[in-house]
Amino acid sequence: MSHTLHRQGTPANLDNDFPMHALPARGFNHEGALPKLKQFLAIAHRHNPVNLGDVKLGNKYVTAYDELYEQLTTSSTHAVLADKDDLTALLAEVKAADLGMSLTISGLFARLFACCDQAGIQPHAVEHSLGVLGKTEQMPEAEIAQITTMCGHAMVAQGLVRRLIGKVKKGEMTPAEAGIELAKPCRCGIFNPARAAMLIDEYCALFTVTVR
Amino acid sequence: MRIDKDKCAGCGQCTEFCTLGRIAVCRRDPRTGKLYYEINEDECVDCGVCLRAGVCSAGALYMPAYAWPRTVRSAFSDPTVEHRDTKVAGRGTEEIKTNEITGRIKRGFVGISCEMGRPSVGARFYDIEKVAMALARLGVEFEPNNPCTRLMADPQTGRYKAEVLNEKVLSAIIEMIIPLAQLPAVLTAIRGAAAGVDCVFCVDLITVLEPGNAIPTLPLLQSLQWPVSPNGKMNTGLGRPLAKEG
Ligand code: SF4
Ligand code: SF4
Repeated sequence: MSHTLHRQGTPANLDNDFPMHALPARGFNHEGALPKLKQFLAIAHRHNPVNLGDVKLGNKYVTAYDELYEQLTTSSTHAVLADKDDLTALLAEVKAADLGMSLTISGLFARLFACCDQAGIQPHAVEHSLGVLGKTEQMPEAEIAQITTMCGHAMVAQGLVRRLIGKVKKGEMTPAEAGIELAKPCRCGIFNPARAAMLIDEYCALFTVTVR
Repeated sequence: MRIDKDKCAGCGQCTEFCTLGRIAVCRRDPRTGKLYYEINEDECVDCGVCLRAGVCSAGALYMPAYAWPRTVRSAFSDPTVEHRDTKVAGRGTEEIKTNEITGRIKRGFVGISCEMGRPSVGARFYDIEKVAMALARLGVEFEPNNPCTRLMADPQTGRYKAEVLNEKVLSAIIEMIIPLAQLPAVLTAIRGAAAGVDCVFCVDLITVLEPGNAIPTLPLLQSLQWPVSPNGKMNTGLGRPLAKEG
């Protein structure tokens, strides 16, 4: 599943959002991949990730980094960075480590090309989102979808986003705490809680609190 | 997913975690006056998020031991559940993620997917079938190692097994690799099929880069007036061994 592809947002609010995954190819370099995936996780951990994870173990807000590192599985290893300079530094370090694992990153294409260029990396392929078709009126409104689409498996519920906006508005929670609560259901750890916090802070002016 | 009405305290906490939203309703037992929640089991995709949230202190939520064909719901909706019925490991293929190693999608070809039900709406297989059949009429070959293809009764026509048609899933991916020259016809068929479905779906397009990071699909998309997001996904080409480009 192309689960980091369809993040919705504006160019401004997508510019601090770099979800990525390292993974081996079945039948090619899957055997013996685990130490390399662990090395990738350790490199990502050094570059200020706002999330890390493995679908079997959960993300860093439900499973501590040390446990993730120790028990990592040979599947897709995920991290999210929120800063272009961190991304460039990570790319340079992954290249120097010569892990041989595929690394896929999402973000604004112009930004990704620039970071790869600075890190001396020649990208291989791109995947475009050609948008959402069909009965789009059944989707949550754009503001909510900017948060829920940060989990590609759709584990982050629109109802939870609405509830947490309400809690932040009432002063029961900070936007940063709400971002972390929203990150928890996304098993893989590709949800960006820092971007969610920023969006929720913005939405406090837009949404009213309804009493059920 | 079900709620045991005798145990449910009617707090509504679990309903806010529902990936589809608003598929549980609050009811009052006419005999006792007690409030409880009831999940619309026909609409539920068995993603398990409400249960995993761990918010039900009454222990009222539970996943029944469903049998085939209902089991396809959790296999396509819950990333922690394996695809046992389709005999395919994982969700779909590795698509762009390992392409520099596998060489699955080569220059002159594109990978294209319709992610049915995504985002946040879900899809029934009878709607998935409408899109698959429209594509099959163009002679496309569906990705054989994709769990959605495995549920087809006939991959030549895009028909699904009759017993799964009414099953609803959070997302199922129709996936194929086509020659670049076929892209306009395929996108036109996708647009046509979109008008007839009662769900949403996302469309993905994978392209190998040309020298200088040129993207060969962009002129075609522009000529079709197809909007393209400024963000997307990139394979950084760091995997080894590299595939030989044919
Ligand atoms: S299993 Fe998923 S779809 Fe069903 S009620 Fe729970 S959250 Fe909603
Ligand atoms: S959390 Fe438990 S008690 Fe509350 S509505 Fe859901 S099932 Fe009922």
